[in-house]
Amino acid sequence: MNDQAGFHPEAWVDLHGDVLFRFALTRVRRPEIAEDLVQETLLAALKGHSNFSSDSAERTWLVGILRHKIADYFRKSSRESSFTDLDFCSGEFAEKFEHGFWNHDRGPREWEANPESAMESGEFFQTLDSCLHKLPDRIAAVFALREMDEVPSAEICKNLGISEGNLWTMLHRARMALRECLERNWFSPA
Amino acid sequence: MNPARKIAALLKLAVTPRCSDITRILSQELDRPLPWLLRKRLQWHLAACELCKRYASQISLLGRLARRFSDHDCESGHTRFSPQAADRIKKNLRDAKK
Repeated sequence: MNDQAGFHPEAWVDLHGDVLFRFALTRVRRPEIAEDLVQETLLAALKGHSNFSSDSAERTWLVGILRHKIADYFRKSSRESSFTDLDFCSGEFAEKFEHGFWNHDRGPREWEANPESAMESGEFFQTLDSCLHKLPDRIAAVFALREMDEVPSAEICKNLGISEGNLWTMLHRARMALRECLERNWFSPA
Repeated sequence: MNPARKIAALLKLAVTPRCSDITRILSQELDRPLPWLLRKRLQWHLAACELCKRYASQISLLGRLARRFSDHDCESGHTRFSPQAADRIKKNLRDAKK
């Protein structure tokens, strides 16, 4: 592919465009931003393609560049306005507790549906997607960075300019809300 | 949090480990190594609290599901790049290659 005459970077759009777009969209949520990030990724790839080692898969290489572009985008957004969101789910499902202890009728139910089969089901992923979409943008972004991309907490805090305490609170509330949403809509619907 | 408030919070938790506090700590356990005392309080609480144990396994499973979702969505999701965006990017790539 490094042979200039036979090198057609436009083919990347057909081969990898949808995958890169979906990767970006899950993280930044806005289609126009996701499109711009894919474009920046492919232009950066074009500049750096001589460094691409054909030992690594082309798509993996492009996703790696996209991850950096997404991190840059979040860093830039956090400079324009704070990334901290302590409003979402600030009650932390207080109605589930009585004096701080689980109310047995409202606490976490045993999940009836099998999680292993959920992981093979397209329908389950649609449910998870709609639960993720109920989260506010910044909460969803930190959840995706931490849980999907496994970025260490300290790195997320440094990149987004938020304190570790606030990050932990945002992640805690994201997990509470997602757990609840999946329980109601998939694992143990009432 | 200043050190005195941190110690006060830890002591309070050591005396009254409430489920609402435990859910917060269980989440933190997925993001950082917990201090020794906190880890012990968590273990003691979980040994006696079925619902917190269930909560712990469900939020840990949530992480696995989210990672699988990301892979699945990228490879087999239905959302597609708009043809206009694809054309625009192809044109920009051609121009940049010149």
